[in-house]
Amino acid sequence: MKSYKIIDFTKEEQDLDIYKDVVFVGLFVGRKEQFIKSKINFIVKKPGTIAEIFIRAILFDSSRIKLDCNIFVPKGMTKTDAYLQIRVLELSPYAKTIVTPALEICENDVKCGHALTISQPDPIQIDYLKSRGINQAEAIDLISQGFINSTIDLIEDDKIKLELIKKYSNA
Amino acid sequence: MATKPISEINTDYKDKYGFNDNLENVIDTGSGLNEDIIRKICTYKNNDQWLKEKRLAAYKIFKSKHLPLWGADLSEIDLDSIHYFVRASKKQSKKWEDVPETIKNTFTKLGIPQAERKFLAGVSTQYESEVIYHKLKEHWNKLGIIFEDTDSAYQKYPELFKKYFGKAVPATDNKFAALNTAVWSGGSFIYVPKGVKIDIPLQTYFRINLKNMGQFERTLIIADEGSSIHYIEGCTAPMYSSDSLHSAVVEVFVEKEARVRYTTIQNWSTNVYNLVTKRSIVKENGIMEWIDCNLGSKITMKYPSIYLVGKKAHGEVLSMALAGQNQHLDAGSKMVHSAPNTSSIITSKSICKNGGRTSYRGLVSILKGATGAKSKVNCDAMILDDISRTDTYPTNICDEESATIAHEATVSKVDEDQLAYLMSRGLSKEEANSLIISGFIEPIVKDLPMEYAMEMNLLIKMNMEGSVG
Amino acid sequence: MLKIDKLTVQSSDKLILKDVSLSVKPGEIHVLMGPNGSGKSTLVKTLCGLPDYDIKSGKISLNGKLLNDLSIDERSKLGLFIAFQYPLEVPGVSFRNFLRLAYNTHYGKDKQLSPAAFATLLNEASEELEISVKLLDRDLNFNLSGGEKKKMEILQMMILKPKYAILDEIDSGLDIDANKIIYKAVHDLSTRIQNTGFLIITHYERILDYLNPNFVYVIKSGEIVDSGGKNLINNILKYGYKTNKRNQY
Repeated sequence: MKSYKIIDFTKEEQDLDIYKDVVFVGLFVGRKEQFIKSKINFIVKKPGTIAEIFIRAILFDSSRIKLDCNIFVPKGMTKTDAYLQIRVLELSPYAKTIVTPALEICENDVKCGHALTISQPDPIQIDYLKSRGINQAEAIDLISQGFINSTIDLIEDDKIKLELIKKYSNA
Repeated sequence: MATKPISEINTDYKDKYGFNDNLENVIDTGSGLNEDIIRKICTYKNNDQWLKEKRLAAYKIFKSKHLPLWGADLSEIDLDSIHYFVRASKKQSKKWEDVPETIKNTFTKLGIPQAERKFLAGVSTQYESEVIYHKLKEHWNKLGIIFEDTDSAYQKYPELFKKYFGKAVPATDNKFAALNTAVWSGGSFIYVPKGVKIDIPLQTYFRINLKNMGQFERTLIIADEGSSIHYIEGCTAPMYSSDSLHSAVVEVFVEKEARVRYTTIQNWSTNVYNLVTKRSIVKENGIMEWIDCNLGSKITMKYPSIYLVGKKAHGEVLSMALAGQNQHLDAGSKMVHSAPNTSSIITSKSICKNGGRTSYRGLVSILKGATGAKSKVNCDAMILDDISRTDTYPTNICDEESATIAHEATVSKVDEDQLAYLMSRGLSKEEANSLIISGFIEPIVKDLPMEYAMEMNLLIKMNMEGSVG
Repeated sequence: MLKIDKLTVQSSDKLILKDVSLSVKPGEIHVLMGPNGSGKSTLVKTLCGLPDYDIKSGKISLNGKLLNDLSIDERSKLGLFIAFQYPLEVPGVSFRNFLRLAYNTHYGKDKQLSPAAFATLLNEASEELEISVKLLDRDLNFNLSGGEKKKMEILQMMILKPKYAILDEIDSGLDIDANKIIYKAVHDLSTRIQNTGFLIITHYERILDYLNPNFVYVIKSGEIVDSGGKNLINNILKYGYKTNKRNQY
């Protein structure tokens, strides 16, 4: 059974060690003038581990995110399989994103990667909802909530999932 | 594929690229730099007041700036031991026959006459900080194309020069841009008039020859509205034990609807510090492509940049790096979107082995107002053994909600299943390895002119020998 | 002769093949059938020389030469070819260049074939197999359907002309016409062209419409449980793999 961990963005800098198969999930719902400035170092400490990191942020109003995420695979950490996925949804002209997902790899028998997307909600999705009679604002609401829910669904551990649900459902 | 057996290629390479001529240099300002030396440079080059002031101001900025705190380790560069200005031959030639014999031999070894025979428009070659040999065919002259060394261009076309010089890369940009602005010598100045499309690539060869020789060429390319040009720069240097510094500045101006492709194949010997500032400003509907292949040098720090300032402007960077023992290649790109509907693509492929280190350092910045801008980055790194290192540092700034940034990166070794598949057809492990790595960088190599593509594949093959575990 | 003699193979601490023996003479066509999970793909991977498959006991030999400790390419150079069930894509590697390199490795000792000469050879062979020239210009197995990939494996086989070829489920996922073309190629290679010996792994009886197998084996849970003439195939299709004793069909 994979272990699940929630990322705490309130820390300005933190080291998160990886010594067993793990799924990290981080979610930030930014409203008003909220912002996060966080530097996270994921350090692989045991060979043969599988690490999946999902970070999702949805920015309303004038919220901002400045994120530095580094995956560090030292020499000797063979057969590491590490993947970082960051998705940022910007919902306001005053929102701002600065993200640097970094990789520092010193071992060759590994598979590492990351993917990042920063965008607004898909206009095609919005149009589809509108074709069912839903207006623009409601459509964006639905999409935003869907974004948050699908992030929470990444966690298969019910206890930890509950933590996120309490915090973010209907956020 | 390869037409020569591998053993021959090795000796050829040392002979072809690793030599130096024992030529007595005519002018040499000695080691180190100060205001006096800069004034001397101005005198040797007949620089007027305008340029003299620019150089001296830049020197002050150079002295006041620190070395960058990020990137590769530059602590071992001894700026005081470098010779900042050396001139080997007093006359600048227009005809091949007029070039001094020893220098001609160098060019012959570098394959210039062949290239000339083939299909190049004109060849501009630099030797010891000065352009000795420069040839411009009548055909291009008639079209109003300017292809000069930068020094001559300043004398002949001062207004054009002053209009663009320093506008993409001001002296204040970084320490080495300031250094270049103070002591620059040589480089290419190209102006392509409105609507003129040059279908044959223009090239430059240059090499560092003297111990502790700095290379500070300054290149400006101006593509006027609707024009198009492909410029290729390939360089080599002999192998020395003390360090050489190469700090060039390239400024490219792409006017409306124009298109510029700038290809660099860098294969400096592994004692060279290669710190280059390359920047392009692209106006409405313009297209800029940097193709950057980094194979040599001890340390390279190079981030070809594109500022997309006009709507629908498009920028592309294809970057390749291969780092072996004692090499750190820190390369990448910078894309700045400041106009609506601009688009950019960055593709980076890097390979490190034998303890080498490759770093991709990129910045994609979408400023407010760049509505509908789209940027896509793909960085793939291959790390061939457990003593090498690869890094990826991509910074993404989005200040415009309607814009989209997508970025993907992967790091892996040569795929075992692919190796087995190719070997099951009889290929040896070395051959299979070589083929897979060539396939890995193929997206970059396919955009090189054919002769460079072949040379590149050959160089990769040579480099891969002995790296199969 | 391709001889597999009492082969016992282990992978990830599990015994997958037990005492498997079979032998194929030049020009002969042998068929191997068995339910999923019976060890067929392990046999193929072991013959290929892929890592992760340990030969605990037994021998594989090709025309008297022992293959057990030989590398994948050494086996290929001795004349072994394997058409894989799921051929890999190798991006950026042109199909033509790759195959010419392989061809020259096998046959280019005295004279290496130039790209032009090879192109002629390749074009002829692909015409026979009704493979569009456009597919030849792609990167190795890139953007091809499952069926197209299998045809390309056969094209490689026709160019490399091996002494023994193992075809791993070459007929699954192909339409009747494609099957016809492939089996004709097999027939040609096993007779007039090269006298190649074949071990064909299949689930289907339609092979009988085109080829005359000399021998059929049934593998189940890593063991050869039955063997015989081509009639065995009809019996299996009637009664399935359920029984494992000849007399209980």
